Amino acid sequence: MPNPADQTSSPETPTWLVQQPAIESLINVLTQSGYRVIGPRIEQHAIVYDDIQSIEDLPQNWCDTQAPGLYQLSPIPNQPNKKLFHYNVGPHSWKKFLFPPNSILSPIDNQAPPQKPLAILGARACELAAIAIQDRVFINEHYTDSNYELRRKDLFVIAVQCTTLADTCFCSSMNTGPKLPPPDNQQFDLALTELPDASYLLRVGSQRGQEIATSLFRQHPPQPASHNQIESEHQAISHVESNMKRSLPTENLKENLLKQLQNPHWDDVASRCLSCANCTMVCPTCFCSSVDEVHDLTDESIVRQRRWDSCFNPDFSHTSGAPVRNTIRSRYRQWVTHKLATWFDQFGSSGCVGCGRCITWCPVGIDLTAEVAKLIAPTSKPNAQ
Amino acid sequence: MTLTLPNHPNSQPNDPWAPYPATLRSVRSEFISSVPSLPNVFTVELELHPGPFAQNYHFLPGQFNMLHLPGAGEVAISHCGPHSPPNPSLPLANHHPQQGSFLHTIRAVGRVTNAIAQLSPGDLLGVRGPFGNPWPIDQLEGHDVLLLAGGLGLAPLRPVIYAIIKQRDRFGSVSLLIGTRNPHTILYAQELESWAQAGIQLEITVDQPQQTDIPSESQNSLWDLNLGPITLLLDRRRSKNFSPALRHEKTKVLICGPEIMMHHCAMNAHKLGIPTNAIWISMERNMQCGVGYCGHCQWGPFFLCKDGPVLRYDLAEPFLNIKDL
Repeated sequence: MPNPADQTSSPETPTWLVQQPAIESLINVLTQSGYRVIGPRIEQHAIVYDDIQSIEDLPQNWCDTQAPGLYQLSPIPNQPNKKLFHYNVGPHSWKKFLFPPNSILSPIDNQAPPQKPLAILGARACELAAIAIQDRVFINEHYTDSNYELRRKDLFVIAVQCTTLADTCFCSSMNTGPKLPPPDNQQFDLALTELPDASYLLRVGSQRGQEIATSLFRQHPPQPASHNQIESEHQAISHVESNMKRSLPTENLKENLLKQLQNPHWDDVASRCLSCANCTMVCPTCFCSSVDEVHDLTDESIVRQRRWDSCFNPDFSHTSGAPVRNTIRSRYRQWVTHKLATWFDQFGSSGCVGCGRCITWCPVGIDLTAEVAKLIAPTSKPNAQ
Repeated sequence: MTLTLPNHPNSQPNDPWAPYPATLRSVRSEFISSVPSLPNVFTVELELHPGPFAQNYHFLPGQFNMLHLPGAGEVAISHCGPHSPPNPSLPLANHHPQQGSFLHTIRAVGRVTNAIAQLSPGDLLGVRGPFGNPWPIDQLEGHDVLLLAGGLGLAPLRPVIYAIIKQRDRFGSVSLLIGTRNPHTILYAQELESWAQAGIQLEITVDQPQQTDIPSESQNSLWDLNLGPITLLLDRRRSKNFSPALRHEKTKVLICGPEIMMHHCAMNAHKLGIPTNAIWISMERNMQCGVGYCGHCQWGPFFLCKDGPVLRYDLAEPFLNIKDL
C-alpha cells in the first residue's frame, strides 16, 4: 500500500480509489471511534437523514424524480451495480441535527449522558455551503449559540460528490455546486465520488479525516486513482452542470429585489401560496426559532423549549398586540427578500444555496427561481412609493 | 448599505439564553390606577442578585432587557434608567432606591406584561440583557438636542435625559417634546419639574384636553399644554421668534414613539433643515432572543434586537414607508 503521508506533502491532495466494502467499513470505523453515524435512508417513501449502521441502510439503487410540488422515488432501471448515492437531496437537511427542531434551553439536565459526536455521511456541495451559512448565523463575534457549537465542533463530515441532478437543482447559479469544494477548504473531513462501476474516489480534507482514513486503509488498502477514473468523475460533474435547467439571476440580485418591494407580483404569488411554512422547514439555512414555556399538568415543572419557527406563521411578527405581516403577500416577500437580499447585509452572503428543496416541497409547486425572474423582469414596474 | 454592529457591553462569550435572577424592589403606577379607561402602565425597580453578571452589568440608554417570568414567558422592555431621580425631593413612592437597581416601565397588555403586573416587591424575575444598539449619546455632546417622545416612547428616552442632566454643560440647548393622548397619560409626570429645573426645555401636547371620567382633583394644571399632534411643536420652530432659535446644523434629534409618529417627526425635522443622519428613531418589533438568532425582529436588513432598536433615520428611511414589511 502506498503511504498516504508521502503524498500529502505533494501540492495535489491524493485521490484514492476504494471499493464498496470500504464504505461499509468506514461506517464501522466511525462507530468504533465513538461517532453517531447519520446518513440517508428511506422513510415514508422519501430519502431522509437518520442513524445508519451499515450500507444496507442506505437507499441502494434508488433514484428520485423531483419537480415543483413533486417528489417520487423509484428503483434505478437496469443497474448491474449497487449504487449507494445515486439520488438528490430530499426533505431533510443536516440542520435537523446541528440545530434540532426541538431543544430544551432550561433546565439543563446535568445527569444526561454526553451526546456522541455526529458523523454525517453524504453531505452534498450545496449542503456544505448551507452548514457554512448556519455557522455564520450561530457563531459570531458577539455571541455563540452553545447548543449549536456543541454539535458543530466535533461534526465529522463525509461529503459525496453529486453525479446526478434533480429538475429542481440550481446550485450552479448560486456558486455552491455541483462540484465539491477542494479538500483544503476545510469543509469536509472525507469526500467520496461514486463511479459508474460502484467504486469510489476518496479524498481527505482534514487531520481528523486522515486518522479515520488511515484506520480504514488498514482493512482496505487503497489504490491511487487512475487518470481515467478521475476523468470519469469530471465527466459526471460536467453532465450535472450542463443539464441544470434552473437558475437564479444572482448578479445584483439584492439591489434588484429590494427595488421590487411594492411589485404587484407579490400579490400573484400570495394568491397561490398557502403560507404553510414547508419551504422554511426544508430550507437548510432557515434558522428562525421560538421559545415556549412548557408546563406539566401539575404546573410544578416548567421547561423552556426552543423550536423551529417560520416567518410564514402569522404570529411570527406579532408586535404590540397584532401581527405586522398579516398578509401572505407580506410574509412571502419577507422570506424571499431576506433569503436572497438582506441576508447579504446580515451575514455577508446569500441565504440560498440552490438545493431546490423549497420548490420540490411546496405543496402548490411555487418555484422560487420563476417567481424571482418575474419579480425582477425588466417589464416589472419599479417601486411605486 | 453597510451596517455597523453595535458594541455589546456584555460581549464575553456568555450564554445569551440564560436569564439572570433579579428581585423586584418597588412598583409604582404611572397613571391614576382607579380610572379603568387609562392604560395600566407601571414602573418596576429591579435589583440583580449579587454575582459576576451583576458586577459586569452595564446598560446604555436605548438598550433593552428581556424580562422572564417562568411559566409566562419573556418580554422585551426598554431600559428606563439607572434608578430613581437624583433629586431627592422626587423619590419613587415611599421608597429609598437601592444602589445598582434600574427601572423598566411596562404597559400591561399581553400575557407576560399582565403577569408582571401581578408581582409585588420581593418577588423574583429573570433578566437577560442588556441588548441592542443604544442612543448615540457621545454624538450629542456639543450639540443642541431635540428629544421627541410619543406616549410611552418617553420611557427609552428617560435614561438619555438623566445622562444629559448629569453633564448638562456638555450639551447646547436641550428640548423635550412630549405628545400624549391626554393630560393623564403623561409619563413620569412627577419627574418633569426636576428635568425642567435641570435645564431641559419641556413642551407637551395632547390629543384631548380633558377626560370626563377623571376626578377633578386629579386634573393636572402644572403644564401649559398644547392641543394637537407632536409635529406642531416641531413645526413652530420654523418661526423666527421662537427661542431658542433652531440651529439646524448643530441639532441632533432622538425620536421614540409609534412608528407613524416617528416617521412624521423625522420628516418634519428634516424639513426644518436637520440632516437625516442627525436623526435617530427607536423601532419596535417582536424581539425574542435579543442576539439575532430567532429572527422575529427582522425589518429590512436589520435585526432590530441587535442592529436596533435605535437606528439612524437615513438608514431606516427606505423601509419606513413600506406597508407590512
